[in-house]
Amino acid sequence: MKFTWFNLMPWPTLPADFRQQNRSVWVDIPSSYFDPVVANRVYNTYMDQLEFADHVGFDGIGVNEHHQNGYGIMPSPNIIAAGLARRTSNAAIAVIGNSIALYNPPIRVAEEFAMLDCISGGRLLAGFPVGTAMDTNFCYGQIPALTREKYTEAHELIMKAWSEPEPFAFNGQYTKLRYVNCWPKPIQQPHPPIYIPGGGSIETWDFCLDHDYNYSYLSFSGYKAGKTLLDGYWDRVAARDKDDSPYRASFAQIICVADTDAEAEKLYAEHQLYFFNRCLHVYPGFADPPGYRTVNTIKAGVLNQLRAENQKMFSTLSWKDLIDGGFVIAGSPDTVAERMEEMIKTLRLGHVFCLMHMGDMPDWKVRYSTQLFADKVMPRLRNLWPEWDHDDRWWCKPLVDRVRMEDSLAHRFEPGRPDAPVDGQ
Amino acid sequence: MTQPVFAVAEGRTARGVNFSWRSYGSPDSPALLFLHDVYGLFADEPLLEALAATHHVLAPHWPGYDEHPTETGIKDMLDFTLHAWDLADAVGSTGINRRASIRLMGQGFGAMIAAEMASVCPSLVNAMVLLSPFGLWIDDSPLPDLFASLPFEIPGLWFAGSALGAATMFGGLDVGDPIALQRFVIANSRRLGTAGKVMFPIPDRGVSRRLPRITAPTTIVWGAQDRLIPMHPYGQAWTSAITHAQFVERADAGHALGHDGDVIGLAALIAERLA
Repeated sequence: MKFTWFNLMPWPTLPADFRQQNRSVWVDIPSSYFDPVVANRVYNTYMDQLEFADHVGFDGIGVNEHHQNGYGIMPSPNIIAAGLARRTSNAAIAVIGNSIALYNPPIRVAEEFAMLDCISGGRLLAGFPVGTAMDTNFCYGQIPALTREKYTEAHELIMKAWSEPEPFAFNGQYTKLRYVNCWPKPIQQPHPPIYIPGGGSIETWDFCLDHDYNYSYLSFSGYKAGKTLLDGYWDRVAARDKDDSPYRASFAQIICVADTDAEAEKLYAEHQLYFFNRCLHVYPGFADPPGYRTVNTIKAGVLNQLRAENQKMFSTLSWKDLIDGGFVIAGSPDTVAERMEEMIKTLRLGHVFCLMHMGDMPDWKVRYSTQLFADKVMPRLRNLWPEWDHDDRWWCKPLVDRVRMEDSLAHRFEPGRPDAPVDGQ
Repeated sequence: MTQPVFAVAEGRTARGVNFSWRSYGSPDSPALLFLHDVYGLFADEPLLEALAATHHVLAPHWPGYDEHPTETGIKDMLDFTLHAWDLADAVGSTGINRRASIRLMGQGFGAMIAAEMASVCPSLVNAMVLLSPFGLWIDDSPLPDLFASLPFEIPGLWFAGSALGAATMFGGLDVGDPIALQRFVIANSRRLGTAGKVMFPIPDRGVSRRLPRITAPTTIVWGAQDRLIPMHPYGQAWTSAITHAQFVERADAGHALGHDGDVIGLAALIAERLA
């Protein structure tokens, strides 16, 4: 099992009546709520937490991309990832990911991901989401019916840019480049492991299986609701005659650990309710512009988690609802380990994106929960798939002899001198 | 049994796109090509039915508005404009003499395409009627976001009276029912998926730069109660941008000019202008 500590980077000071006073936390959220001075502390705290997760032994640390969003103040995950690559040494840097249809030209993603892979010594996990309708269509203006086509073309360009040894011309419908010559190239060859975040689109399942990419279901609805969708994915895996390695799938789950179940409620309930009641207040009209989802996906009945009916549900959830419904796995290390095992087995997961900072959780609670998970939960879940122990197709392969944070820190202020060792020695 | 007020036919353009189309009136009457709006042709089209008294109205469906596939390679405004001329040619075998200039009318999204047709091939348009066209964007008067609108909001944007709007647009469908809602969402996805290629996120693909090329006598009609594209300032902007344009205000109508208010009177006015 692989565990990646994930931070959505929510804005922590939305008012209690946010839902009543505003249409949406995403797209047209009033910018008056954002305070750059507060953000100085918020960004640095969140990055510290990601570094802490590396320190306590998480396999990966994860970031993602959202725009004009009160629960994700990270429009450029690559900036955060660059900082993490320099200040951590062990964890995979999971950028889940860059919405490649938004980059013009998309070669920019090939370049920046290659930079991250080089700086981190081959620790990059590269995510290529199609992107939510909120980000892709309403914030960045991509045409809904053409988004997937543009995405597919961008993917083709990026993969070719990484693999072609010589400059080439790319004559796409959306990108035309006379000279594609990706400098730098990633350390991991032929490319870093690719993760495709999805929300239930059948076309995304097939895309993952066509290319043997990891399918990452990023939902806030928890593992019980996620089972239906993951069952559909695994059925598709079987229908396509692919092996059923659990490492083909990732799942995002909100997790809180305390000494006891009662302490978990006492410590974390208010912050989870902040997230569900305020941060998930998304105007339903932004969730599904016509043309964004294919007719096949609509016919399959896969409803966006941000549709009106779910919005209503999010606004009235209690702590008990969150626990009973599987939205949140919380409690003592024993409780969390039992529930996590149930989740991992029933959803058949090799990777879990652990959402351990949610809403307006203060730093100390995040670290407390994270440490308990690393010390008392993670070890119990490590070997749930012994028959697939050696399947590392979807994990990074760092250089053994890579530059490590400790090395950089040790001599970063040393002055140059004529008799210094030659670089690289 | 009542006679259907229109005939339905299948066609195929020179570039191989299959489509269906309706015709109203007699082939012996002067042909009029009509390009429909974002929500397509409804079961009843009272304006087209009224115009059938004086014209042979030819109303093709855009891809996504009938049962044919939406994957047509029609992506940008030039594609749409040329496809519209292809449609004119294809239906011309029974109505429009492609070697002569044509009479052209469009509503909203269709009016925007009609204006593009007339600007690309000005000498092939004999006379044109634009019913509350999309295509311009004025910063001080932004349009509502059609693509973020919820189903129950749409009739109120389209019609002066939302009850008539709901009856016309949903055809008795209860969008509160999940199955009915899914059907509506699928239809909407196909229709607005197509229209969105030239309308999302802002329905301005630069037609204002091309409008001065139009030479056809043009009548621009606007509903004073249009909540989708406000008559002030968009009506004036269109009228001043086209050399031979005349503006007509319909006090009792919203955006859906083919359904709202005195449709018979509007048909008479259009027939006079096209004569």
